[in-house]
Amino acid sequence: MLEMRRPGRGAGRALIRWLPPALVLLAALAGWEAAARLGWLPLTVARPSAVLRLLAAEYAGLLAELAPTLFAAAWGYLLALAVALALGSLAYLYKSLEGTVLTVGAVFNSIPIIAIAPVLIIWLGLSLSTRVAITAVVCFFPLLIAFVQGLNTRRATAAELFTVLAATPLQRFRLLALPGALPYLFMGMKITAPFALLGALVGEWTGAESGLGVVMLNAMFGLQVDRLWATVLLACVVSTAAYAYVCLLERLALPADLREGEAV
Amino acid sequence: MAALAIDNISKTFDIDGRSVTALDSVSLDLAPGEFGALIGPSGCGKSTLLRMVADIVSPTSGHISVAGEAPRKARLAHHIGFVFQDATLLPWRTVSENIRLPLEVVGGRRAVDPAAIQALVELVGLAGFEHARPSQLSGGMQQRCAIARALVTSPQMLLLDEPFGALDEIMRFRMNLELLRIWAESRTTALMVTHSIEEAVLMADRIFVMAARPGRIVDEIKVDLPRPRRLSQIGEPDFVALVERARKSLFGDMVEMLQDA
Repeated sequence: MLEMRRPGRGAGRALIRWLPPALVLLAALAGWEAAARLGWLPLTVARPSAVLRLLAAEYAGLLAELAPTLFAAAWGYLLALAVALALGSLAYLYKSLEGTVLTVGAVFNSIPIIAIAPVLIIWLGLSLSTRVAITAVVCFFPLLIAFVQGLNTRRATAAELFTVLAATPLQRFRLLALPGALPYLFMGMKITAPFALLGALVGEWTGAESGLGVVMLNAMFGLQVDRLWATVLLACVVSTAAYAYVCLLERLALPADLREGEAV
Repeated sequence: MAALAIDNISKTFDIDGRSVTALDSVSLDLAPGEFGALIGPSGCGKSTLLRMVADIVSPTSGHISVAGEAPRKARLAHHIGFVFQDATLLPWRTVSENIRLPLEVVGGRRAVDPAAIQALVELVGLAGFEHARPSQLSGGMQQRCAIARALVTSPQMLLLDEPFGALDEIMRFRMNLELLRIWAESRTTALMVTHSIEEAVLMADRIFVMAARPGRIVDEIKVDLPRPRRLSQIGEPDFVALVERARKSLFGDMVEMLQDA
């Protein structure tokens, strides 16, 4: 209702917002390209134009390799989200469990993912489940922390209101804590979305038949510099897209004044 | 039977091992449909007293009954409506969703009658804003929404904790008269905490003047001005005399405090 903007000004604002970073990026790429052509950079640094040419020529094959990576990243992320929501809710409804849940989560989180991966491989084999599990482990704790913090945000008079209303603990959870936690949860989801790709790539490095991580490793060992940089670029694009997608979901789910710290 | 009976209530807090008396032997009664005002300096325990009636805080000793019931029973039976100093609306809910919140707690979503909500929206003058969210409303509109929410369960006891403390004086007087109109229509018993003498005289049937350290009632003033109350009464001799009387009761305590210091 209050979000009426004149279209001209909205477009102008978007331009002011996006133009400077876009120009900086373009200038950096141009400088890079020039430096590479002049022979100032080592051969292990690909020219942007060569990377783009390779992407244009092989995009179908690369996208086919990207598919299983995205699959593992998405399922791992959703698994982590489901477990974080379940455990966070339990920790809120049974306050005595909160310390245990958070401590176990913190310990779990402090184990380096590279150390946990071999254990998961022994349990689950070199399978999709392993890669989903590794992704879930990477994403789980930030989601849990964000959700629990959102549930426990101090709402002193609202708590008194619910006391006067004689609300049950479950009603308090459903009507007060859960909707109040959503902005925090989205914050966690935004931070975690790029982690999901990281988890999936690490999972593929520990062993997989296909996937972007596999292409990456092969390109590295085969010294296919352009191809390696193309995979890096793809990974960046996917990470950013994942972040943007969660931002979009947040926009659809929450009105502007409820979003925590609008970043993009 | 009294709508509200507060009988010899005391409250002590432990602060760093020392026992501090917040309220000392406070008693008051309200008849059904009566409007009472609690007025006193900061720290006299008037908000604490209100919270005891609502069963948010429990007294150390003494007895409270709301229409013959213990506060806990009255609260669990949804006989108490409470308006806080800030509106305390849920920011993710619209005006009508905020107003129906108590009904959802009482009986789930099915218990909500949209026509009743709409009638309340109109009663508090928010027609046209049913689907606005709190961030889109002014402070006065938010507080009116909070009053509607407090009334939606038709409580027997309406408790108001400085409901207009955050508003400017013009808005406050407007809201005072609107609240009186709403109260007259709903015929509930009301107890309001305030630290504005004019507000107390304008609204109440009886004013209970409190003093601090320890919190206690030092004077009870009957306001027999005709109803419905109007803003023009504020300048009339009867009104001014009552304000002076209340001011003297309040200042008596101030003088003591200054001498203590």
